[in-house]
Amino acid sequence: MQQREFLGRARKALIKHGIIGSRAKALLEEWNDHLQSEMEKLVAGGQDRESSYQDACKALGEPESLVDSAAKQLAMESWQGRNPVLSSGILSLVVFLLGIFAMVAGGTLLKTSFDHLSTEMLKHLATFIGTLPWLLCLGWLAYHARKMPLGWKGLWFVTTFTAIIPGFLGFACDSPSKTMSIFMAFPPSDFILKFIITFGISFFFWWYQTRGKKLEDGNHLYS
Amino acid sequence: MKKELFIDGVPELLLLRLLAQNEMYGYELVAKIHSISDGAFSFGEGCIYPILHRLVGDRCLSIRKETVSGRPRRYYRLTAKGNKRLSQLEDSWSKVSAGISKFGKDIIHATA
Repeated sequence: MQQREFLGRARKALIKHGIIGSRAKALLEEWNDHLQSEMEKLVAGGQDRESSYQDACKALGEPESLVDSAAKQLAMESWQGRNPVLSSGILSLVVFLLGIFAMVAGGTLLKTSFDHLSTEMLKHLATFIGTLPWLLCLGWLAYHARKMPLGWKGLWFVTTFTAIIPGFLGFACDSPSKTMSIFMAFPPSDFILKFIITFGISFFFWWYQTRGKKLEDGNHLYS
Repeated sequence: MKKELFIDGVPELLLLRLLAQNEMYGYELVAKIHSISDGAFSFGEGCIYPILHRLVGDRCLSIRKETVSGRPRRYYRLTAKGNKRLSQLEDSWSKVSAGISKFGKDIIHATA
């Protein structure tokens, strides 16, 4: 029962750190075997099962700190994990550039090739093109965020920020008559301002949550 | 020299050295490191297993699964690639060690 509780807490902590699938399963199996082996050793030494379990858990440590240490080790295996600040900046930049490129390209395509469509249809297509690249980019960001220390928080922040700011990506389908100007809804100053604000805030957020990680890197193995 | 070879490479070096002698499982490796070093090296179990899994991913180690008392256990074995990696780490470590030994107590006292 207690063993299940230990592994349950470890599993929850792994998910929180974005460690899932076969990687998480392998770690849980190793820790389970470690715990049981330690228990068996103590029982063989004359200790009862209950106290041997307690001692084995104590030797292994709190599940959360165990997972924390594993997550740091896993993060150190990737370039993103070793350079959290630089990589978060580059990833944010790439995501926003890709999203903006996809929308501008989509808009241009609609304007030049689909002008025979009804304004209503164009409006829906514009919304689709405005949303899909954003979702794809967030998916791509999510994939990389798994490798970042506390990366999920950064992803949530970017998602929330870009979702709650209306017209963040330049789409303002307020009137069918304006359809043809939908994709020109990037007045240079407005676009640059929005870009700087979004990129700056996401960059700052990541810097804030990953600050000090570099200093810990050399010590975590020995903690 | 890369920082990873100097600090982060230590547990990897010890794991590879132990596995060069015998096939072993995780708990066994952790216990051996602790006992051979007289407790000087007590790497957290949180860090040892990800290193082992990475070495498997890099094909430096091969893995064999076995069910022991109803639970799965992974046995690790050094591969030819792992042997090369061990030689590289040993070379790096001997350079570091030789460099440090040059800073003997005499030098430190003389410069103080």
